Amino acid sequence: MKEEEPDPRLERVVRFVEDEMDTAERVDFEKEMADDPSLRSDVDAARRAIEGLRTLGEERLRQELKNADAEVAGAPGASRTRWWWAAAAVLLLGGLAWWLVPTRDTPQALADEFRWSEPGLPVLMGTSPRAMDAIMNAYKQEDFGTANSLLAAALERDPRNDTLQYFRGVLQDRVNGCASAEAWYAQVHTTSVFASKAGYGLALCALKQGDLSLAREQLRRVVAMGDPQVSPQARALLLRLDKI
Amino acid sequence: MEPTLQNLTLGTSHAWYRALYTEHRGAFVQWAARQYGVREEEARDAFQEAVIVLYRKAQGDDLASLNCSLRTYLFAVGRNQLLSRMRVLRKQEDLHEEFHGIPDEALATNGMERQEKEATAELVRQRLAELKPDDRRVLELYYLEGKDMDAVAEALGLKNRNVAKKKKHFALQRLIALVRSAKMLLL
Repeated sequence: MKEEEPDPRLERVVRFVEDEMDTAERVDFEKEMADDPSLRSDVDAARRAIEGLRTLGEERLRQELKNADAEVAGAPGASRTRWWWAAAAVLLLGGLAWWLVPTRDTPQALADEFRWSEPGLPVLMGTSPRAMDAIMNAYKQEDFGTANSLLAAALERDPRNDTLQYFRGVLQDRVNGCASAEAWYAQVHTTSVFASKAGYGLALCALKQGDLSLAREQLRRVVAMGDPQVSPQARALLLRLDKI
Repeated sequence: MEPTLQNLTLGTSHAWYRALYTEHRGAFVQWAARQYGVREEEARDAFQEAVIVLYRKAQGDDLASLNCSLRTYLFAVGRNQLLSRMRVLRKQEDLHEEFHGIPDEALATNGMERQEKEATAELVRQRLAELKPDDRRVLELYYLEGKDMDAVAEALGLKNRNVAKKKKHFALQRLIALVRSAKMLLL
């Protein structure tokens, strides 16, 4: 479906499932639906899409509430138990040990330790094979040569697709290293769902090149994005970097 | 207008739910510890689920008929969450003693529903990734970040809420077309 040519049938389906029809229109639509299995199938797909979006919204809110707890736990004066002073003493001693005990962390070692292994997207089989499914199949089977050529072809057709840009970066990172990956990660727009993971990839690349300042800057951005997969890892890595 | 239980809508922002959670969390944790002797972490989990239930109900416009304050509603739902968990734990202990290896049917059913919901969400997550960035962003702002149409219009630099709504409609149609053509098959 092209952007300039909205599907009038789906337009009605959306208004039905979003409860935007008046009573008369709704009654007509329901009659039509009773006689038309394909319309019922469209309504079912629309309900699934909206249900899925709402579940994703719940997941995001749940993560935000957990983040609110984490912030309180990290805030000074948060604990009101009678063990406050004992806990403070333990923390103080722990903190002193943290700063006094020498560390063997190097940027390269940290980059290896905190490496994020992209699991890939789920592969879905539809009535027609999809380019992304073939790419993900190859990626998950570690057939990086095939995945890379499929990605290159897909990017030629759709150079602004952020999913393709991100996975090209991931593949280049695994096969050729940072020098080839960085340009792809950098192309992923900040509004992309892959922005946090691409940012994390860039931070690790900066770390491998010994640019601690750039690595920290990238990691702070990733932490701020609140991605449940890479933001906690970015936060932990920032703490370790403070020891270097 | 400050949201109340009766006028909560789909467009109430996540920031508002988060503020609501942090405002009442401490009182609920103390109350739950006194009433049921539960740990702070368990009480917080139950209260988080209460806020999620409120959020879910607001999407379905199911709250208008309720006649109580937000705090009372959240405490009641949070309490039910705690009691359900305690019942499940007791049931699991009983089953363990009396029926070794026989799954709890009710729990299995809930598990299946949850799995179906997660599978649908995963399908939509993947299809979202295939949309153009503009389409994806408008759906994320509205459904995933809980922004109302005015806020969506502002975030996307659109003229007004009507333009934003039209854009959301088109994006949703494109997502539905993708969902329609897909059948899930776990690799």
